[in-house]
Amino acid sequence: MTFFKQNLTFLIILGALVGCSGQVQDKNSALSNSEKEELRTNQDNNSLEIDSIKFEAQNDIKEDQSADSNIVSKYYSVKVCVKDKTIAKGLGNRQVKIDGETMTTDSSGCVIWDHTIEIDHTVDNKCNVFEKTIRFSAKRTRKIQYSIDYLNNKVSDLGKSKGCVQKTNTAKSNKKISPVLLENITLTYVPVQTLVRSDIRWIKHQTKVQTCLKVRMTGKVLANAKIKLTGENLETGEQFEAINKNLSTNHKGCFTTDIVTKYEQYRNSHWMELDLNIEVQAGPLVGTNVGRSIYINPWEPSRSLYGIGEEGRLPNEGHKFKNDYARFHMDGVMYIQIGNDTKKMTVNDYLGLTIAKTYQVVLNPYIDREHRYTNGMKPIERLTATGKFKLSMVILAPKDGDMEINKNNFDNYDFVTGIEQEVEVRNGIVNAVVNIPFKMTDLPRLSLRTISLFKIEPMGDTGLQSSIVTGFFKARIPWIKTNVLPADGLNIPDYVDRTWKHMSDVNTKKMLTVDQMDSQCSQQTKMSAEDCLKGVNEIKKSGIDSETMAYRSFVDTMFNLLSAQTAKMNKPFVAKISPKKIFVNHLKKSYEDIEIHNLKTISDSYGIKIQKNDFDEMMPTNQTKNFLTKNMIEELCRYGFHQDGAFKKVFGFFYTKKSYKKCLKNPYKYFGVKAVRHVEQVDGLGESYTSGFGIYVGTRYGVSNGERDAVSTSSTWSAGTDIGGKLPIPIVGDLLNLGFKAGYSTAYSKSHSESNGFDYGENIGTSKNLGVEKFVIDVQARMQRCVLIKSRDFLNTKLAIERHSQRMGAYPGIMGVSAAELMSEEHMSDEDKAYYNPQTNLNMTYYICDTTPKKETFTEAWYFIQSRINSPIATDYDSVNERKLLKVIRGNQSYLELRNELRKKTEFSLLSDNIAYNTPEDILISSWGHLVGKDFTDEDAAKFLVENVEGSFPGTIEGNGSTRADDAKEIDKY
Amino acid sequence: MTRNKKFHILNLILWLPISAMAISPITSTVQEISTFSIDKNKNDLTTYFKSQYLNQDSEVNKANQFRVQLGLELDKRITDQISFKLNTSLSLETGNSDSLYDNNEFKPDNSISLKRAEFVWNPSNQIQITAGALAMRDINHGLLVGHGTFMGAKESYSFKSNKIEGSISALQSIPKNTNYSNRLDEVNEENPSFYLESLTLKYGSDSNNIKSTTSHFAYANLSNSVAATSYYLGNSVNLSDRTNGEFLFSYIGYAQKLEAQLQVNSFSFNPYGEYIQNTAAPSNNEGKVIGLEVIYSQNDKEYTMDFSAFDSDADSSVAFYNSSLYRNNNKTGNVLKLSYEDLKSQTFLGMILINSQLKNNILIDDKNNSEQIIGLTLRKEYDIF
Repeated sequence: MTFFKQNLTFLIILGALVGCSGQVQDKNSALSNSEKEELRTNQDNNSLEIDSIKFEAQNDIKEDQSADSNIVSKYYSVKVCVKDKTIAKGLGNRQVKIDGETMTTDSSGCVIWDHTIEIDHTVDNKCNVFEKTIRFSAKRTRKIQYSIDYLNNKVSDLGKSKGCVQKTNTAKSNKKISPVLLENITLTYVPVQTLVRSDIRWIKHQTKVQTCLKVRMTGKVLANAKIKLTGENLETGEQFEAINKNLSTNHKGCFTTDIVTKYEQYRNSHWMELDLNIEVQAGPLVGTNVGRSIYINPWEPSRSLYGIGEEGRLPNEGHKFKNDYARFHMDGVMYIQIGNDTKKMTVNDYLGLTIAKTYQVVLNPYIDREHRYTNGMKPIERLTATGKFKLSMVILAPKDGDMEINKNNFDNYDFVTGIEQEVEVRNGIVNAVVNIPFKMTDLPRLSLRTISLFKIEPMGDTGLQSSIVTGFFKARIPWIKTNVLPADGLNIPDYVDRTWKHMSDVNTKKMLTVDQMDSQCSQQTKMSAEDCLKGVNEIKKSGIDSETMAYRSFVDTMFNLLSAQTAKMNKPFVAKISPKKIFVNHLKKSYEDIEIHNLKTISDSYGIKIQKNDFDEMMPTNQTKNFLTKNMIEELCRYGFHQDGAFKKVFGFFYTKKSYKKCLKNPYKYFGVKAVRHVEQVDGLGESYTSGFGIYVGTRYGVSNGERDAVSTSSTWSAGTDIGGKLPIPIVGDLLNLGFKAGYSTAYSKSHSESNGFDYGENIGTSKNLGVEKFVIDVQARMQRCVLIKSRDFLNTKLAIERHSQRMGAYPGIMGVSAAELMSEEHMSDEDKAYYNPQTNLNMTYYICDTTPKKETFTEAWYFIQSRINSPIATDYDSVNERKLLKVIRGNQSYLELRNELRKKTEFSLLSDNIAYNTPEDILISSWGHLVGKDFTDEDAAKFLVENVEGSFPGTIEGNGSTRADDAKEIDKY
Repeated sequence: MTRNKKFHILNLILWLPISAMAISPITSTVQEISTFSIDKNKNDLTTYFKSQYLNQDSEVNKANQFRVQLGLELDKRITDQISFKLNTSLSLETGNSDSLYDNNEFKPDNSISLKRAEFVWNPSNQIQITAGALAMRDINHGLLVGHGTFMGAKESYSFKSNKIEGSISALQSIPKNTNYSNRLDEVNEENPSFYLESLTLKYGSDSNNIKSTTSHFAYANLSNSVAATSYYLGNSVNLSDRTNGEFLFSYIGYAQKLEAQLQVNSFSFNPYGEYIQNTAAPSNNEGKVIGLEVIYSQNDKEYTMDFSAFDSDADSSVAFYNSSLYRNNNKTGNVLKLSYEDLKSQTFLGMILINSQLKNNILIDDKNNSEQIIGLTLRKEYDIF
């Protein structure tokens, strides 16, 4: 039992102990077999270790032997000590292969090799990484990677540290750097290099540049290096180079040189950015570049800060300009009327005269630079340098009584005339003599209130912005200095215009967001959104609206008309409708049965043979004789008093009627005649002169004392009341009863006057004198010569008696015979009765012209007649209401007729007509539209008539030419 | 409870009864069936003299060594059930050695060594408990442990029936260690331990038999110095420096030895084979030995020739502890032993030739990997008692 117990107890204990080894756990139990295999794989069997790596020696290798020579490369000998933890005896004095090259370790197990590292100045990498394989045996081989920081002369085992590659964690950083460091650049202004004129865009100036260079890698100065300094002006795109082409740094790495750059003299004061580049042309850094953006302000070189050349420093503009460029500024214009330049007068084919008045214009243009940085430098400065500019002047006449032109009333103004001329500024003053052309037909308007617009602008694109000012033009005042008013709306920069156009285009369609507008604008205009909408603020600030823009556009158009005007004056005038046709149109209206013939057709049709000589006789030089030549009398009487127009032959003899003989004897009883010249083309102008005189008129009476109840507002008649004359032409009755232009001196503007009842006008007699300005020119032209022949009607005795008995029927005689004629003794003679209703061809109304035109010189006269008011204190001298007579007429005959009528105190009425009921345009067309027939639209016809009808038919000459003797007589009479 | 503490408790359990038995002899009936021959009167004290010459020749290690060893062996019966065994020696060596890695085991040295100091308690014929400094040569697995001395305890239970005899044993020990650690972070490293459980079965007579020893082993908490040394001897180790390292794998596995004895006249043919596998390593974890020992006996003289071939993988067992006869680990080779022994005069004369090759060159050298060792031994014992 004891045995059993003992054994059992033991076996139990044994059993427990047997389990001991089973409880030992595999320390890698968590790993699979393959993972365990990895442990073996990862086991580092290479016990060769790098004990240390350090520089044994180091040297700077320089460009040459001189003390301040630049470092080219660096020499290092590297000592690497190795050890093996497993080898008790160490690795001293053993053969070892370093990258295949056999070497021997020293007693400490170290081996030495060397590197010469060229300094790469172009890459931001001072770190060179090397790799060497140290091999004692196949298993005892180790690669060593180490870095050398050649700037700080440090070597690091990359197996133990990141060395100098720690930042990028890569062997090489390829970030390019400038190997050369640029110290602060000092910039100094050197005076201007070019002769400064006011009309040039670019000014050259010189800048002194001082700085020093350093080698980035070594931190030492770049001494004695040949360099080249170039640059680009980013604003102008100009490339420049240092004046000194053989530039070198000194032993301190510094240099001083000059650059010449240009700037736009009319840009407003600001900092201009220049890119400066320095290229090293010799030495270890040859070919490397270093640059910097510098800033200079040559507009204000007197500023304490002229240039900014420090690294990283930026200029502070501090002021935001409305405009990049300076603008002209004017505050007054003086003009002096010198006189009429008769040599510059022109006449068109309608015998429309344009006179040239010479003025001296003096003005002081300034430059408005908006802002100056320098104390004492004013933003508005005087133009001191000489320069040529373009001066434009436009004269506008108001249709209404407007005083001042602005954006609300500009469409009430008409272009009258103007000039554009090159002028020179000297010492800030423009002093120029200008010739302003005035059409005679415009003279009445010029006598009234007119507005002048002055524009001064550069001849070329100098950047200087033009300026437009408005002022008052007084044609009647020979000398005036007018203070001009700068109009903001007229001087809007182009970018504002551009923005406005875009905004009005886009915004009318739909409301858009700013971004949408930006993108649309840049798409449409192909420019950046910023440029596109640059003017938005300006529009808001200046209150620019559609009226402003329309006003601006109107003024632009007015200035553009100047060019058209010049072109028109230089080009031969091509008539749309010939003067002859105008006259014929009128004849056709007056005489429905008129026949138009030339010498050949009249002969062919009726056997009436009129010769060229007949015209010569009727129209000798500078004269017109309304008579019939002998030949014409015989031909007209023969045809008129014979049944078939020819003498009857009876038994071989010609049979003549008694009436024929009477006709020969007294032809003017039977025929009216009028000789007329029509200009075909004006070839040139001969001698010309002007004179002035007055006419004593005396007290005038109106024919009617009708009351006028006109609402006189600022919108008064621009046309004004004018005299209208019904001037019968002798002999042919009211045949050519043109008289004066039907109450017209000015344009086709609309009537704003409201008038009740008849307005017979008022007497012109506030003054007893009329002023007359006369222009006389020898017109050399090819002229059509024509004659109007009208047979007189026979009297119906019976009717005559009746009319006589009714006597004061007071209406004009029938069939075109005037009442005065009707009642004359001659008409009532017996002889007349004898020819009552004969069988004749006497019913003839012919207008016969020569077959070919004739070159002639005719001395034609134009008259400008105006009433004078002695005292303009109480009245508005320049108002149309106060100027009762303003009249332009052409031709001696017309003038004499007017003068005669004015002198017939009681017989003549001054009729102002009732044009107030209709628009002047309507009146013109209804009265005189037939002159131009259907060749014109109503508007064109009205313009044409206004411009060309000067109390005469356009291009048609009636009566005699002017002579000096006539003038003498006028003066005598006066 | 950690394994280490468990181990100490076990030791206590074992040692307490041994101590008690030493004071009060256990009167137990001796069984008929006895496997352990207990000579109750045995009191042996033997000294021996041993001289040895050894020549080692390889590319990395060279040595010529002459050693003189004086030893003392004691087998003292203390009580009926307890005896004490002691074996110490004094070694004096001279010669020269050269080693690339400074790991030459044949470096001349003078030392006093304790080879065995164990108490043996036989509470019965079937049970034997041994404690103290145990001689590992008793363990019959050269590929697992060599001639070291481990402190520990061993419990055996033996049985016999007709021609079969066998035993079950368990060993708990602390293997010898050169030092603990000089690494700061592992000062509190646990005690290393070695466990072995064996089943031995023998079939046949004394002269003709076949014997199998099957064991399971486990090393725990091996020290870093052992690892460092083992690195040079062929194990897979992460070497920190020359004296410190860490084994890549644990060492837990099986060992199997088969031996046979065939007596033909004066000749005894003893074929043997041994196999070991460390299951904690994924590969290179086997060790194999196959050999034949022929003994010719004439009177009191024995002539022995033993030839074996071995092949030991890198991680089959801990190189620090296993037999250097098979060149530790990662080696393959063969061993020829020739000896003469005069039993009467207790004189032994032997020669040994070992020729080995590195299997995988885990060491960092591409030298010739072969090694030859020649050893000559003369041993003479003197019985004092």
